Amino acid sequence: MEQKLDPELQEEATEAAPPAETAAPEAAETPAEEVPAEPTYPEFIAALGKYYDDLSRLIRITKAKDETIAKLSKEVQAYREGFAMKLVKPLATELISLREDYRKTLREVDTYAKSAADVKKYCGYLVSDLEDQLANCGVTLKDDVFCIGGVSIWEKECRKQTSLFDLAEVAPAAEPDGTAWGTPTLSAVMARVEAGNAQLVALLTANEQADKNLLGYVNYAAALDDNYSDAFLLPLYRALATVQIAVREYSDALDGMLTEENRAEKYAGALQIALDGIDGILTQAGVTIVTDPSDNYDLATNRLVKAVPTDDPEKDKKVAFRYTDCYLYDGKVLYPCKVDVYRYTPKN
Amino acid sequence: MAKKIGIDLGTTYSVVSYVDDTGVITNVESAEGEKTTPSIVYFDPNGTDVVVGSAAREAGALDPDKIIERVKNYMGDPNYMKEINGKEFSASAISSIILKKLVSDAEKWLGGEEIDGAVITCPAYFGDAAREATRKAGEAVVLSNGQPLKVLKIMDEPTAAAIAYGNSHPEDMHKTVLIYDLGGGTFDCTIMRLDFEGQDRQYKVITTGGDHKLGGKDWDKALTDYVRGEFCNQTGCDEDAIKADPEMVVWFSEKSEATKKMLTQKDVATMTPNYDGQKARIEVTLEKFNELTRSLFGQTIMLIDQMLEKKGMTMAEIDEIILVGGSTRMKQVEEGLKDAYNKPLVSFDPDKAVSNGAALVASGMNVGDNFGGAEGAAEGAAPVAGADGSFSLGAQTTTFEGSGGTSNEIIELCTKSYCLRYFSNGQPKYINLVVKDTPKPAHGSTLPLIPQLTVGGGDSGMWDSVEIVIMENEELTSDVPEDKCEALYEEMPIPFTPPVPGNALVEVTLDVDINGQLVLTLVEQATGVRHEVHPVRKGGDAASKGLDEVASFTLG
Repeated sequence: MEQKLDPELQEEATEAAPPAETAAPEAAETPAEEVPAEPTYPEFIAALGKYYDDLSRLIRITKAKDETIAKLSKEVQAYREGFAMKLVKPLATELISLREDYRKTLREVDTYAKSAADVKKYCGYLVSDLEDQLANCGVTLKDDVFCIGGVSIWEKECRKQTSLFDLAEVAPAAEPDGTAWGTPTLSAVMARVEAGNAQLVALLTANEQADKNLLGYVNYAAALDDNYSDAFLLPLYRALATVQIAVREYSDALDGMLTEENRAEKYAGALQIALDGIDGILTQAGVTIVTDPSDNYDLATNRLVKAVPTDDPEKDKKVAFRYTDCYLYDGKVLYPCKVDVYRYTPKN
Repeated sequence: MAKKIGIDLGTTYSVVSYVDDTGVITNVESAEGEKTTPSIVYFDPNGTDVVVGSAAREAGALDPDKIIERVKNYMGDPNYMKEINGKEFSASAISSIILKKLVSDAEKWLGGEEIDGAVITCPAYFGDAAREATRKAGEAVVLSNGQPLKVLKIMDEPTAAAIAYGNSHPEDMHKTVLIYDLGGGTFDCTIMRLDFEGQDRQYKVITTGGDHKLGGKDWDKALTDYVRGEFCNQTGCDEDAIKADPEMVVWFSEKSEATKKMLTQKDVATMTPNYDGQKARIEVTLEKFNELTRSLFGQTIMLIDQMLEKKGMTMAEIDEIILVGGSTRMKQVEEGLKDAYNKPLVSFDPDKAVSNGAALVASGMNVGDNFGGAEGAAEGAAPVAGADGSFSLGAQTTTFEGSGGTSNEIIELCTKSYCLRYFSNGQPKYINLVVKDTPKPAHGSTLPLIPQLTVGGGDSGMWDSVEIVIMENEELTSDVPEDKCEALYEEMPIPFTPPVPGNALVEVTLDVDINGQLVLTLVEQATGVRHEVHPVRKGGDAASKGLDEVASFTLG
């Protein structure tokens, strides 16, 4: 099929091309220098088409990359929102478990305080339980002082705040080669397009800069996490250590004081110190303790221990007994309330 | 842009992943904000609502007869039927409800982007019936645009894990790897060959093994048994009474799992049971935990050794062990495998490797070439059910484009043997037509093993029919003992008209037809007369019961 050339370009191209009769003898004299054939117009169009395709693909990739960065940023944000929960959860869950155990014990403290030896033993458990929790967080006793990595938790400081990284500006594109256009041949135009294209490609694939920005963001987030975790957890560790020390001192002071009449009361006293301390730590950590007095069975915040048969249809799916409280963090259930629930079972 | 997703439809938990526009693998978060969804279904008594996931566990606790867990263990079993609100549901229908929830969450997560198909994983040990049930479960899911979910492939879990592993290794590689997959309720071991050369990457399954009843839960139970026993020894409490106390059952279930996890980071943990006015601090050292569960870990080693022996291989041929599944975080697994085999261990994203691998395959599959089109199928041919890997004896090599434009090829093997039972001299004979661990034949080709049998065995009388049956087994040889075979198909009488002499030779072939159905062909050698029969699965359509109800349920 005949290609219709742009008359202006065709004219320029014709003017620029050396006349065949003058070029031929030269070529004959210097055969070593091979001059590349001038591209045809269809070749030129095809090359432009290819550049266009390449660029549009790159633009799409870059757009997708931007979207990914935006998504990542959103994800990091979501992570940060859940970050405190992640920090708190391991310690809080264990403390809640202890709290519920102590509440259960306190309800029937007489049955546990059967003897002075039992009270001493169980008070010792309180001390060890709290020490275990600290040890699980990397806080250990060294020369009777709670330490992290050998440094007393009372002296340890938070890591230094890292400043927000600077998002470097994307380097401006270098100007295209400033040399003259030269002879306006198709090959010259193509060379020009090629040069411009290469620069566009370089710009669009400036992943290095995008990567730098991403890396900067990630590093910043990590540094922030470290600061945040230190700032958040260290006071909790100190509070827990304080509770442990208080219980330990109370327990030590019981030596020789326990009588048949006071042993339940004394054990209850130790439990109460631990409970009050744990309540304080949980509150400090942002945990909400929900004591629901109603008989509503809530799937989202309750966990069934057993179904209690009832022949009263009114009681069906009502809470028969609550073993524990419910614990929330930022509206999410950290520990559900354990319940027994009535289940209607007709008599016959 | 429409997305294809990978679904790890797990026994205890399920995970969904997809590859985003820039090639990043992303895990879908459920409506409840979880990256893994418990594979639990609760049927609301009103009969129209279903709840799937964590909420189902709680909702079903009060109505235990309306909650269904671990249904994957019964996929394809026509005898498994759950009656809920007066209707019967197969394992496939219940799995379909789980998939409906997973896909619905994925659609929400993708914010309006359509889902263009899914690769669903299954254990390597799944036979035909279980694979077909999985495929049907997926196809019964209706997307928000009203279209049914396209099931692009039913893929072996270890293969998916290997692909996720391969994706993180752009370098050339020629390795034979063991995939050690210990989940919450199952253990799978698979040997694969990975050949990566430039842009060409090949994943080839060599053999598979495992135990689908062994998992992390057994480790929890061993710990509970020990601590409860110790507590009773120290306090004199009645162990049976503790076992029967619901509060203590819940307490041990939570504490044992937490303690097991604690022992992945520390060498000692404590459990303090509190029962009937008695407390005791029971210290569990890592050493003790390992001792308590040594036999469980030993079972995994035994299963690997058996798999190797059966295949005539040794550990010397294995270059690396890839750890998959949350339970491989236990220190015992890493240390035990090092002691047993002294091979390099690689652990990466053990909870999500399977769904990530499935997502990579889904995103890179050329649907036009692969969806419903077996290798060698004519362009534009009707979809071939079963060519998507939903048959252990299916067909095909799957190809997909990986990150960086790599060309990936998965060569899967038959994961079951299929034998023919016939009678000779009045005695039943069993011969494997398809042998496990041999390459899956391409659709339309005859199988490598074409036995010839005589119609009447040693009897020279005239025969007007023979009774044959296709059975599934795990043997790697052509001859197979009767007690190793499981009859999943009905007996089929093959009539001969006119009757043929007892010494007449018949050539037998087994294939998968265009509709994904098994076809058994018998050719009388003397006359060339062909008899083509479709083995009918025992239980008929029972394994699919309830699938048509799935769309009518509302997810609560």
